[in-house]
Amino acid sequence: MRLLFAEDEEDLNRILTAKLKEEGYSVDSCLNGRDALDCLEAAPYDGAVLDVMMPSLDGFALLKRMREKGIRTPVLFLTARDSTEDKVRGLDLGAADYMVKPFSLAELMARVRALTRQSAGVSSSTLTAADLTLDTASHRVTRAGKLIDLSAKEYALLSYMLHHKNSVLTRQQIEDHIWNFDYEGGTNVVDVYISYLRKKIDDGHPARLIRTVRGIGYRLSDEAPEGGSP
Amino acid sequence: MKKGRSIRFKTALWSTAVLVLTVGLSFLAVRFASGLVLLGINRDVLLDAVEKNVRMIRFNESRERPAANFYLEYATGYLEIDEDFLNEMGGVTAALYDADGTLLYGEDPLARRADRLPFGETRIHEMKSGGETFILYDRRIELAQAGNLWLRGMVSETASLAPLSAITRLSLVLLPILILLAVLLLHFVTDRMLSPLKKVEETARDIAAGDRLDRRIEGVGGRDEVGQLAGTFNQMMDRLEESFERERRFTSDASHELRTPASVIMAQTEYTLEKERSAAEYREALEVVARQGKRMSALINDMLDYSRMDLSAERYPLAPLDLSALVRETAGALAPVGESPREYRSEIEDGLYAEGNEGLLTQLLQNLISNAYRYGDPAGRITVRLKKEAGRPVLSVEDDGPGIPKEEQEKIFERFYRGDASRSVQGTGLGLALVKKIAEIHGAAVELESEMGKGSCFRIIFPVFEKKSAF
Repeated sequence: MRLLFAEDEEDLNRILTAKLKEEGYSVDSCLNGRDALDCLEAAPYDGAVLDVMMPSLDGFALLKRMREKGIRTPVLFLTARDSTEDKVRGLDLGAADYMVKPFSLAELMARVRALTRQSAGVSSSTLTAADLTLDTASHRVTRAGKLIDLSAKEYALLSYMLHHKNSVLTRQQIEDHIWNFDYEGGTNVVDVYISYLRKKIDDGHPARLIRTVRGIGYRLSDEAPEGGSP
Repeated sequence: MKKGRSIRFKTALWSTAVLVLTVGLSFLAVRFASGLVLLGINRDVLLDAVEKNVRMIRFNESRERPAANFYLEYATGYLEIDEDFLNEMGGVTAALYDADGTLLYGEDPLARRADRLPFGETRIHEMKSGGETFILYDRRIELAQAGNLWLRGMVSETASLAPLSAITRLSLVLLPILILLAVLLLHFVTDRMLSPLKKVEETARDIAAGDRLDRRIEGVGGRDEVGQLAGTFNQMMDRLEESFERERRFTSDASHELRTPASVIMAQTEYTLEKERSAAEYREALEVVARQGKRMSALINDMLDYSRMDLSAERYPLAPLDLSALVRETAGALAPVGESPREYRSEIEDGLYAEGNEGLLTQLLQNLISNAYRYGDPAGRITVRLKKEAGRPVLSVEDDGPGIPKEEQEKIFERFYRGDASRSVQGTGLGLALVKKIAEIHGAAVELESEMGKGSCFRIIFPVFEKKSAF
């Protein structure tokens, strides 16, 4: 899951970026609205957390510009303005959610999870495929009841694939959603992480969930594989 | 509504009472006066009639019977009575008596009623008989040859007052009707005059009931008392609304400004306490908390200063003070501030005075200087100047920093406004608002000259100082 985070207060920006990264999101953070718009135009995001009062382009104006440009990324506003008019205005502009400062970190994370679920059309915090479950709130991943230990990137990759279960995801799509602009790794980074993930989830289980779609990318599916045995 | 009715009711009651009393008293006075007039006329008629009759009586010594007129034998001759002798004229009856009081000639009823009254001298007197009051006029007629005769005239006083009682009866019917009409008219007029008060009351009630400070009394114009009341009321509401609005905006601004550092502290602590962190991470977290705490505290101090000045400027008394000494002292104390190597200069002209408040002016200069340190070029120059221009002391603080864009030059004096460039700089957003406020208290003008890339110069232009005897 790739997030855009824009907040002009440097301390707050740093802390929240660190927290979101800890949660397994790949995060691009900006200190003003114009930079945020540039990022949003350049890459696909699963959600955007925007401060309202920002220099150069405030959150409301930014959201308006996004929608004008056809960027459908769901937006959560973070703001010190608590008047009803402001909330109504933000939500009417098309924001998915609204949080007034000061807030609890735990609540913000829950709302960010809801935001990304919404973008993937998922309605619960627990994602499943066959006997594999992933709890986005507690970050617990189990297969057939057995706890699986994943690194942050592996978790992010699995979570992204579960959010788009049964759809074919291209390597580019996966890279765009899991790695942020800071990453300048090799081209086969997706293949490497897929292989890590396969070892941890599919090894020792008769039904393989992560499948390679030749020439395109990967698919996480709990449907019966077409064309017999792998 | 109840109050409105009661004042109307009271007005109606009192005016009715006054009306009834006035009408009653004037009626009585008129009645009394016309009684007197009528009685006077009555008396004149009586005297006139009797005196006329006196001339109708003549005594003849001769024994010869008079030819035409009515006559009586009396004493040694005849008593001649002209045929014009009026027994009754205008309600006056008259009769002639001899000296002993024996009726010689005249009206019978008069004789019967009054014959017991003895004659004494020529006089007017009253007599009551059968519930009626009469006035009698006894006139002595002196006959040289045959002693005295008496002519007595009488008129009923009661009868003469008859028109009065008719008027009284009419009045007793008419006056109450008139009073009733007057009261109704009065009620109507009071109602019309008091109806604007109802509007005043309705508006006041509306304001009291809800948070409707924007309500005003409308449609009550005019220069009468109610119009003035409405005008004063509206003015009062303007001022109230303005100060409530100012307070509301300030509270909202203040809470907004405090929210950001509060959320940083909350997020930082929550994040750090989630799990075991390294010593470096703990140190960083504490630094963030300390920094944001300091920011909150500075914000609270500035806000208190600002609101104190905003709400009660009169709390700061102005007195003549040596501006040159004050600026030199403050500028000198602030000189070593700022860790970066800067050039700091002051050019202070001696002997400049102003009506001012020492504490406030020190704060003004401090704010300007720390503003220059914050936004100026870290390796640049700051110049504090005090000199006389066109008779006015002018204090200026100049930096050679990046300057302020034209469109922001007005806004930077608004509280909590911080330009894009200054976002990263720690400030409360109140420093320049305070400068403006303090200048206002001193009747001084604030000017800003700024050019992008060249720097900014804030100028405080004090009013001309008029030397008092104290200096």
